[in-house]
Amino acid sequence: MPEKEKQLDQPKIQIEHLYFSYDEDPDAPLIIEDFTLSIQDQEFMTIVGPSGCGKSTLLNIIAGLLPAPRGRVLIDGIEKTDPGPDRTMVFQDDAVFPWYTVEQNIEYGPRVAGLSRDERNTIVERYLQLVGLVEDRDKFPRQLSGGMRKRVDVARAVAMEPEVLLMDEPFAALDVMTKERLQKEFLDVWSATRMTVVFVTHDLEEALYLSDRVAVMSRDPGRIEHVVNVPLERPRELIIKTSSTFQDMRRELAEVIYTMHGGIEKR
Amino acid sequence: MSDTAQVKSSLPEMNGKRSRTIFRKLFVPVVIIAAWILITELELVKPRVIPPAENMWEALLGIYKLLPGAILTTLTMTLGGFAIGTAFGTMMGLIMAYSRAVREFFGTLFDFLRPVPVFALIPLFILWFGIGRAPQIALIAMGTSVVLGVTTLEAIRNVPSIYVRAALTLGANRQHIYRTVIVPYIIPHLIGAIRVAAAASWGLDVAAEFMGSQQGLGYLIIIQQIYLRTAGIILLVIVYSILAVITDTLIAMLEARVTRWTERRAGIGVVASIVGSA
Repeated sequence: MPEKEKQLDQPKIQIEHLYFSYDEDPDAPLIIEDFTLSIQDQEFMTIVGPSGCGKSTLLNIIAGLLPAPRGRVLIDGIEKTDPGPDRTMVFQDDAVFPWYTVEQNIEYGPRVAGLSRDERNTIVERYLQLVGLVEDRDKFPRQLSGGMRKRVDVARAVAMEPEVLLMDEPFAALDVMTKERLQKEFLDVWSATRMTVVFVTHDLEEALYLSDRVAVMSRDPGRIEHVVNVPLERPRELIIKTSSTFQDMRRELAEVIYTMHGGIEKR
Repeated sequence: MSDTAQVKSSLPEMNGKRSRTIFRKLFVPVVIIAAWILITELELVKPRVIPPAENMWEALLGIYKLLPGAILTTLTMTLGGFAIGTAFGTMMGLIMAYSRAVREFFGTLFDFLRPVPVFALIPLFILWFGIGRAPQIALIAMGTSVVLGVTTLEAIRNVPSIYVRAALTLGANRQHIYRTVIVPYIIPHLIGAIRVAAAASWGLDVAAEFMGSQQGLGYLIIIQQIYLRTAGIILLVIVYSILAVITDTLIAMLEARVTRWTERRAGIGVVASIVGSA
C-alpha cells in the first residue's frame, strides 16, 4: 500500500471543551470536564490514567456511541456525533461475532459498505495475512483462543481502513505473553496501514512501547493533565522495554500519575 | 497393541460404565411393562382401568383403518397451526423490538391478551369459524404465537450490547444490525422456545379436538371413551406421543445444526455431570 501522505494543516482529531456525565442531575459530578486534546494525522496517541477517570467514556464519545452534552469532537475539521466506519473501535471485551467465521467477521464492514465481492475478497485476504489467520479463516470464534479472537477483532476494525482507530484497553484481558506478542504484532499492522490511533490503557509500559505521545488523564474530573513525547525510534522491538531509557520514562510517567490531582493516592 | 488401545483396555471403568448406563436406562420401562403384565394377568384391577394385552390388540384391529386419515388430519392441523403461530409470533416480537411506534400502539393490547387462558377461547373460535379445522388451527396458532412473541422480545432485549456497539462502529445502521447481529444471535435462544411450543401444540390440538372436531386423533379418543374402550384410548395416546417425539427429534436435529457456533462444551468431565448434561 503506498505511503499515505501526512496531512499537516490541521489535526486529525480535535476534541474541544468536552463535558460529560452519566447522571442527568446538574449537581452530579462530571466524569469529563473541559477536556481538550489534539491528535495529529497518523499519530499513535495513548491516553493513560487511573481507573474511573473516564478514558473509556472519552473513547465512546469519539466513536459516537455516547452523546456529549457540551463540547465538540472534530475529525478532519468536521464535527462528528454519530458512529461510523471512519472511526472503528476495538473493545476490551470480546466483540467478535460468534455466529460468523473469521473470514465473515473481517468481511463485515466492507459488506455493510456495499463493496463488490472482488473488492471484499482482496481486503479479507490482505488482513487475514496481516494478522496471521489465513489458515483459520473458516473457523468459528468458539474454536479460537483469546489471542486469536483479539486478532480477528483488530483485523475487522482495520479492514475498514478507517480514518481513526480507537482501542479501549484491547489487550487487558489477555495473559502477559499473548499481550506482548499482540503489542508487537499490532505495531507491525499499524506501520503497514498508518492510520491515526487513539489507544487507552492503564498499563504504562504498553503506553510507552506503542505510542508517539502519551496523554495523562486525571480523575474527578477527567481532563488532560500532562502530555509526554515518546521519541523512541521505530520499528520498536519488545526488548526496548528493558532498556534504561525506557524504564526512566516509565518512572517519570508513574510519578506524574501518582502526584497529580485525582491520582492514585486519593482513593 | 497401540498406545491408546493399551490405555483403554487398562481402564475397567470405561467398559463397566457403558453397560451400567444401558441397564439404568432400560430399568424403569422394563419394570413398568413387567408390572403391567403382572397386574393384568393376575386380574388385580378391572380391565376398564388397566386393559390387558389382548384388549390392546383388539383395539388396534378395530381402529387401524381409521388411523391414517386421523393422523393426517391431526398432523396438518397441529403443524399448520404451529407453523403459522411461530412465524407470526416471531415476526411480532421482531417488529415490536424494532419499532418504538409499534410497541407503543400495540404493547398494551398484547399485555392484555397474553394472560388469557388460550383454551378458554375454543368455544369462541367454534362460534366464529364453525366446526371444522379452522378453530383448531386458530387456537394452536394463537397459543404458539404468544409464547414465541414474548420469547423473541426478551431474547432481543438480552443481546449483549457489545455486539451492537461493534456493528455500529463498523458502519451498520439499525436495519443492518437487526439482520446481521440480532437475528443470528437470538436463533439458538428461539429454538429452545420453539421446541417447547411444539410440544405444547400437541396439547392444544388434543383439547381443541375434544371440543368439537369430526375427525382426527382427538375425535377418535372421544369415540373410544364413549364406548368405554380404555385400550383404544391408551393406544391413541401412544400414537400422539410418537408423533410428538418425532417432531421433537426433528427440531432437535435442526437445533444441533443451527447452534453450531455457540459455546456449548461437549458433555464430558465433572462440570457436565454436575449440570446434568452427561
